[in-house]
Amino acid sequence: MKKVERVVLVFASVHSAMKAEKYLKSAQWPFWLIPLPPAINDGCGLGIQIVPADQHEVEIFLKQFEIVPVKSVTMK
Amino acid sequence: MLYFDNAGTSWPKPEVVYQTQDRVSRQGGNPGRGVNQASLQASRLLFQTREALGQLFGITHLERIIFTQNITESINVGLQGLLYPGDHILISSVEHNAVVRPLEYLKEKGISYSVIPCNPRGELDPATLGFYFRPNTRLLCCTHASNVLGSILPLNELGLIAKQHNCIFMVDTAQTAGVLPLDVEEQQIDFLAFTGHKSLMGPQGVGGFYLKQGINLRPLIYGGTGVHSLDLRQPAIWPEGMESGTRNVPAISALGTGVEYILQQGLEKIRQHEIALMSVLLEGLKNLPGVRILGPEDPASRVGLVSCIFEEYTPEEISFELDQSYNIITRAGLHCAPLAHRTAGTIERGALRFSLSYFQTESDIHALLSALKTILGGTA
Ligand SMILES: Cc1ncc(COP(=O)(O)O)c(C=O)c1O
Repeated sequence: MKKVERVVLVFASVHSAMKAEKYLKSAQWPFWLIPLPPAINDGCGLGIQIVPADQHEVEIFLKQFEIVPVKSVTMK
Repeated sequence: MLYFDNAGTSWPKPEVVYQTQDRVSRQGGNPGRGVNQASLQASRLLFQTREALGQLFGITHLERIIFTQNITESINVGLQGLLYPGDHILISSVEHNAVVRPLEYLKEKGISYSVIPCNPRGELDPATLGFYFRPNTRLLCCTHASNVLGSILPLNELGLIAKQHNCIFMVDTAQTAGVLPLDVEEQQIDFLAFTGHKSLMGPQGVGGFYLKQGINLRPLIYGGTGVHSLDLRQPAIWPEGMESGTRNVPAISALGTGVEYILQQGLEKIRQHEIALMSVLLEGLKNLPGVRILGPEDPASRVGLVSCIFEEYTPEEISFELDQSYNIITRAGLHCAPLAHRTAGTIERGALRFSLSYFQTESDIHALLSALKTILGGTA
């Protein structure tokens, strides 16, 4: 398995990750729901990995539905 | 079987409710526990039911909808989690024991309550309310409709009065959710408690509540949420921080399909059907000898249940005879609501309750009336 750089949006609750999934899916953004390590302990353990180049636009897109990730992390 | 205990638990459910419960029971996955296809799918199912309920109750902040086992648990979470020693509560005189017993328990914690009297038909005049508020009154809790008398309480006025007195407005929707319109914004409901297995057409084992954002609530149950597991203290995250322990996913998902069914049919159609059946039932009961009907006279002023008492028989005798000889299910007794029976003057004997379903027809009502006629004699 090859390691690549990833941008992951971290959510406070599984509920808000599910809400984000719903809108991202309907707008056909590419994304992956992924498990996060416990070290990222201000999240719910569920992250949404996006294409690094989309980050800014995705964040703006989600904001219109009042979905604000706790943070975004870049992982290797 | 002719089933007239829909206020106890509704039967039958829409077919899709049974199918969903069975399908989800077979698919595994614990929502929020681990990230894998099965757990994600389970989380999506909870999300979908929150969406359906949000639509039904006019809730936009779906994370404020919490799933419990039933409305009794929801009311307990609310009363035990919102109140502090020294607080005073107001309730109506037709409340269910789901409200009264937690409040009796909370007396030990220095929380007091007063009962606002309804008239013997179970109707509450909002003009009488102001008198009962005290400086320390923090919450007004009332049922939307009495499960004994069928009377509908004036929610809009009550919500307004609660706000004028800076009180939290809590509503027990056990007998109305899925039949009467409910909108937490319009009716200024801060805490809306619901149960899944009655007119919401879901299975037993699921209920829930909505609490307006900005109001602080102590959970009743502490433990694993699947999220923020490094933190030894309960996370203050909604909805998960309020849902410790695995939820009843098959029932929650099936409830979602029940609510979707209601939304497709439309509340107006469901309510009109109920009023039509109720009119036939009330008319028929009036023509039977020795029957006294409790609650409001106008079918449009009541929900789909009617309780009555008999001159010659106890409610239990009639209920047993209907069950044994006619295969007709009814409920006799106090219906877990001694306050309502005291209000109606039937605390000594209780009453016999017939409660209706969206899936019944007028011919079901006529079959019930004809059985009663044979039992009681007369001309109905
Ligand atoms: C008005 C009212 N409140 C509360 C309840 C309790 O419902 P559950 O047993 O689902 O908690 C009922 C039903 O029995 C009811 O009619």
